[in-house]
Amino acid sequence: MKLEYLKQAEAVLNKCGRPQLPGGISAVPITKGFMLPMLLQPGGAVTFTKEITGGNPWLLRAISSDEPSSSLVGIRCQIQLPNGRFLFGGNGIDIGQFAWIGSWRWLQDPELRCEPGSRLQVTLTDTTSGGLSAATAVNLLFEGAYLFFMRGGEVSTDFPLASSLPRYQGIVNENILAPCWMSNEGLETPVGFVDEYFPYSTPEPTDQPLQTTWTVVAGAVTVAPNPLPLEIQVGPGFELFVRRMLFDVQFTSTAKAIVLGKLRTGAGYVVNDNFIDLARYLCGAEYPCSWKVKGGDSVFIDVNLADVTGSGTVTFQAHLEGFRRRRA
Amino acid sequence: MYRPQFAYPLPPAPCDDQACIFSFDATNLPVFTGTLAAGAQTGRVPLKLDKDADFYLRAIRSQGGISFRLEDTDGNPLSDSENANNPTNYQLPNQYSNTAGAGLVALESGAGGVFGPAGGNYVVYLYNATAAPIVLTTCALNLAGVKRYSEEVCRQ
Repeated sequence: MKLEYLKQAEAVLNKCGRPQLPGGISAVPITKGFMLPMLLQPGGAVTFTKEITGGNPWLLRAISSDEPSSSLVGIRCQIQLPNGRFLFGGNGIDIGQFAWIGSWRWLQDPELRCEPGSRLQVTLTDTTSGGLSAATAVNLLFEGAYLFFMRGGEVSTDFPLASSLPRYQGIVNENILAPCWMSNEGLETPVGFVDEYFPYSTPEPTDQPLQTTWTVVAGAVTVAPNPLPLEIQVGPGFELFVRRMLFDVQFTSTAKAIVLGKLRTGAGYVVNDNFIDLARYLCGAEYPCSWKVKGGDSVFIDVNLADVTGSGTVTFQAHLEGFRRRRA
Repeated sequence: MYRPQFAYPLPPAPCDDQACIFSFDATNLPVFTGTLAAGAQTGRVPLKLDKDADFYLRAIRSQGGISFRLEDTDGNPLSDSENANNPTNYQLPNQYSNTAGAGLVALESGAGGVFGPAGGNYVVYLYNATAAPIVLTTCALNLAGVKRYSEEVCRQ
């Protein structure tokens, strides 16, 4: 191990912030894994040992196994760690339930410090009724890192542990996928105006069945809503800012269909220029930027049924959810 | 500052935590040696914990098509338990603990997990939500978490 590399690694880690021991001593972890190949004979119960070699302490961080972690293979595994404690409670675990590789590996959290010369012991026991049909190989990879202790490097600044922080701090937008307005950031209401939460909706199917309902007989539409397209009027004096759209499609009896639609405003703005499955593609997702509809304008929704089967009724209601802005 | 999910607090000094799995199958739980008929459920089945340290349950993984419902060591249900519709009371493994992703379903709790004292018993109820009998020797239940060793235990 070249000292210069260790110094460089220490410098990088100090920049990230990390705990330091008194006297400015810090540790540089260098990745190192120990492979433990094992073979279990039918009816056998064998303990295998792996010594922590080298002159430095080693951290156990993960264990990978060549046995997929979604089976019961009849080989009981118990691992005794260098501190004398067992990894598994009770009588151990079936090796087919323990771990596999990659994302399926066993994460040793918190990591376990093992002194040089100490030992990992793995006991495999055949628990099948009648014994294994043949000698079976089991390979475990103990993954971790050697600790190289350094003194006199740059002192790192205090850095709180993630576990000491509250789950929700409420100070910034912590969900990187959420629109900024969800945490009340972004464009503010202009002076002299007031924003009010407001959903606009097309007619409600129970109260207005003629305007919202298709009647389907044997896979064919016999009655369509009237009038079409559906219209949502935005009153004069308000501007509507749509943050998301919700589409409610209901079926009765055996009727099934897809409601295809196009959205546009009376002023000529087109949301989608071809028919799409509204409920599937546009329902519920919040927009990073609001869709602005001017006061006195209307949102028109051209709707058609597709893939119609069965008999019954299909009802449709659309909601434009957001806020409307008026003069204070 | 970004705070990753499922970050657990450090144990109070001088305790130390060590990762641990309790795995229950036909080799250590007699109920798993039988067959459960379609729609049938078992009574309470104790899941014995080791006596050397307290245990904090943080994740669950199951094998096989059996549905189950857990209670903590004080008898508190960890899911719905009194609905007339039985499937509502049990977790369906395909939707929860038989994860095809990283293999374990993590629970987040301010206490660092669901507490179980040394030597205590979690309780599990098994339920066959399918239309066919389930041979329970094909099933397993794994409780993952940490053992919290206190200073007194460490001295032994």
